[in-house]
Amino acid sequence: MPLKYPAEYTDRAEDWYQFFARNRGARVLEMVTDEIVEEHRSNPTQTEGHHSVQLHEILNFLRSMPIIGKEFVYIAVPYERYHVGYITERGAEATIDFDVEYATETEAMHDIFLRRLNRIREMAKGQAR
Amino acid sequence: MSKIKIRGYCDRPSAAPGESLSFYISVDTPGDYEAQLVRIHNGDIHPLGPGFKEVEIDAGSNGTYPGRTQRTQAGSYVQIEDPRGQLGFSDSFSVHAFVSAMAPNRGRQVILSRWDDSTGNGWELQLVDGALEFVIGDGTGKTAKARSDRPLFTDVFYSVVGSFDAQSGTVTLDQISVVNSANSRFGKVVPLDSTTRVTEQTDLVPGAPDVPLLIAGAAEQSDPDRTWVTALFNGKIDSPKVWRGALDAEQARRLSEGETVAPARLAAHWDFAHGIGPDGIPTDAIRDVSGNGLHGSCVNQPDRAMTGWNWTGRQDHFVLAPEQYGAIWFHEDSLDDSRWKADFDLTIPDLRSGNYAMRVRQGENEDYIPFFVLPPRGTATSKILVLMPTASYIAYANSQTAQNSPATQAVGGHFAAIENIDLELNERWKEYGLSTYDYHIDGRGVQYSSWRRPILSMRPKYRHEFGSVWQYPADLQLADWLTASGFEYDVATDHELMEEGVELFKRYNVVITGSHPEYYTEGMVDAWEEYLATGGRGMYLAGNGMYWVTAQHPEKPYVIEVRKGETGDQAWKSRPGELHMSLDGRRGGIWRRRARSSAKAWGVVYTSHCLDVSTSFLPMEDAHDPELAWMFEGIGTDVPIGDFGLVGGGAAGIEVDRYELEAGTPPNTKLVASSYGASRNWVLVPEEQYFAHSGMAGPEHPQVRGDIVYFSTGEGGAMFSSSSMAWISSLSWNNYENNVAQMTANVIRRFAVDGPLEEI
Repeated sequence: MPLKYPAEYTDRAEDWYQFFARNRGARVLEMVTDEIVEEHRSNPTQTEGHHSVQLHEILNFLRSMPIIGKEFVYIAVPYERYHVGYITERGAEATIDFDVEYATETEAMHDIFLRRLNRIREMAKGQAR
Repeated sequence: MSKIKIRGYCDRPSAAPGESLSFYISVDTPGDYEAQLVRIHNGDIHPLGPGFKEVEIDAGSNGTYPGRTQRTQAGSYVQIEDPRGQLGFSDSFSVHAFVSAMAPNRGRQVILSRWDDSTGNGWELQLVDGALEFVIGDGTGKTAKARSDRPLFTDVFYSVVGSFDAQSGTVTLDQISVVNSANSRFGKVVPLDSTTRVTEQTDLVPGAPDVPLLIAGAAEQSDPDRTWVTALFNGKIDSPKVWRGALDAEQARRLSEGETVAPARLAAHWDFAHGIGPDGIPTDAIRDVSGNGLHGSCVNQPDRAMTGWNWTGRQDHFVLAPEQYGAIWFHEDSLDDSRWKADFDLTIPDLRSGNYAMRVRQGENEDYIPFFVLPPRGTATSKILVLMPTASYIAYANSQTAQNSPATQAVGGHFAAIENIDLELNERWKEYGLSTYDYHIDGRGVQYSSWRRPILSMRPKYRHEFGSVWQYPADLQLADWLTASGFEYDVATDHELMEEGVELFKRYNVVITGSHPEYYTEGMVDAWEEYLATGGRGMYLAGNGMYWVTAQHPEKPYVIEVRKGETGDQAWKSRPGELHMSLDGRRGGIWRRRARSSAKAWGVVYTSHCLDVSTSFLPMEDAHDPELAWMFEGIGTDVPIGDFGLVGGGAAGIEVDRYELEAGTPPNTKLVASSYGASRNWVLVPEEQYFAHSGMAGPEHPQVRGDIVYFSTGEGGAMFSSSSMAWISSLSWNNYENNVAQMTANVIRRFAVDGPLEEI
């Protein structure tokens, strides 16, 4: 019973966070429709009006995903050229997907929206297996 | 791979004509670089704005310089010079400290040493991959050590003794957990078996290298010019001591209970609480209270006045129980001064007061090092003063939340968009240092920040990791608009306000803020209050101002301290018992919790962040008051104000404040206009939330809004507040022809006149 070795005691809350991510992710996927995807594509930064409640709820989940591996818009040349990058540990070089280039920031933002949805789908597939 | 190839800083934010500034430059590739003084008129490259504007200025320092790569010592530690070798032993000796490791598995971290790391000579008490070791070495490559068989639990206090017994030929490590109800992460109910004693035989005799004693690190090597420190410790160290002679197990046990042992043989005892008084402990000095005179000094501003091993939780202010605040929290990534060698000095020519920078270029790589030119000391050369919020620039300096905080994209209401400067700051964070929005690598919020390092987040042409121009480039938009509109103005900074107080303001008819003057010292709050109460006129063209209680280091005026916590819109919270500031002894947190809400001076208080999309202000009933007709001249009172702009598409956005009598808004305040149409990412600040419930955000909550207010003060003074960080970014819209610019100009013209204003 006495506690000797800290490595034997992991953060059990992680079980819950994984459970939450799976189940909430599944619910978020259910909310994604062609109309929702088009709503985000046509107005990712709300310059053309506020997002619907449904899109807002989806975005809340996507924006709150864990930090490592999270996509960001990489501004290669401001107002000219953009890519999508992935956040790495502090001190490590970020990963940039230079294979895909965007002419505008909003195009890159929409692709991040799609990439994160894909990640949730992959997570759901893994769970199904 | 570095993204930025040349960078630099100057020694302070501002200087007057005839005064000198020193510049420090480092390049990745040695070779010549060009230095050119420029005046910066606009720093935003937004295609719908006026674009980047700089003018080259003749200066004696313009020219070519040999570039070199300058090294930065990151991490905080204490250095004790030991010129007489009192702490290097060939006979028996012992060391003791209370220790709480905050990141015990980050490789090797030295707690206490008199050790030359290049030769393995001397002694050191260290943590390696989670377990404590006491090590001796003779400099020939031979070492002996006692390593604990009980790894440390994170954020748990231990009493640790390392001893060398020359008579028995042993090295010993005593590790005793000293958990009480308040001093550690968990309490006494945990049946902890983390106490141990390990002894190893050795025939080694430690050497006495020519290095200082270091607390929280080890010397790379003996160096007569400068000691470089490696293997820096992350965590708290309390009451370190050194004895001649080996302590036994019983003595180690008594030490763990706070008793004194073997006082006649005590060689050094550093009491980190020595000097704590009503004004905190605003010094780098470390006192040896053994009587042997082995005093030292902190380097890179570790966290002082921290709860110690014996903190009970009954007192939450170090002034009331200094003996329980004997800990210093060290971090491997603290930085208070890059301490580079100066490349050149600039003597400020006879220039107009304004925003300037030293542009340095090496090939296609460039950096701008901003600073501010004051009018000649003690004088005003205009009736208008723009106060550049340098305390807030320092607080945000080099922030990296987008790459470290999972909440940043949710707070911002958009996916992060970042550039090379941001990537550079995250990849090489120790060399650039952190902001008060970041966490040290051991999880502690950053409470000190410094001007003396390359601040890449305060650069023209840089947008910001939050997604829009933030602070400096936004404030340049104000300067650009003032110039384009024909207003002559002087520039001063928070640092002059901290130094001169209200006397600075009294030389002007009107004082205008930058877009985000969030960090305020007590003296700065006092100055605004007195200025406005005695006929001064203020224009708060900002949001979330006068918010965090801030202290300036009296010995290092380029360093500030903030203790976030309790409540507020914040990146981190001070731990229990650590809300008071080391630099002035006062309570940290938000000014509203110290009865000095911004509403008392500026008429509005911070109410919501709203970084996704902006909106406009709609005129309220008071807009139709004939006494305010001058404000709406050329605008009309029946149209939205600022339904356009370079940030979020409106003048109300990013962070906004509201009229609130309960928070101190003067009763005679006019509610001129309010924003309406908040998005769901406009969220009510935590200090307004009592019982939390759904609907505490836009568009549902009525307190989620920005308010334009106006009120008269005593002796013909007045205050105008636009209450939005996005306001300034609308000034240049449509080639400066718009109703935000018109209203701002109407107020400036009225406020800049000599003599008292008519009371409204």
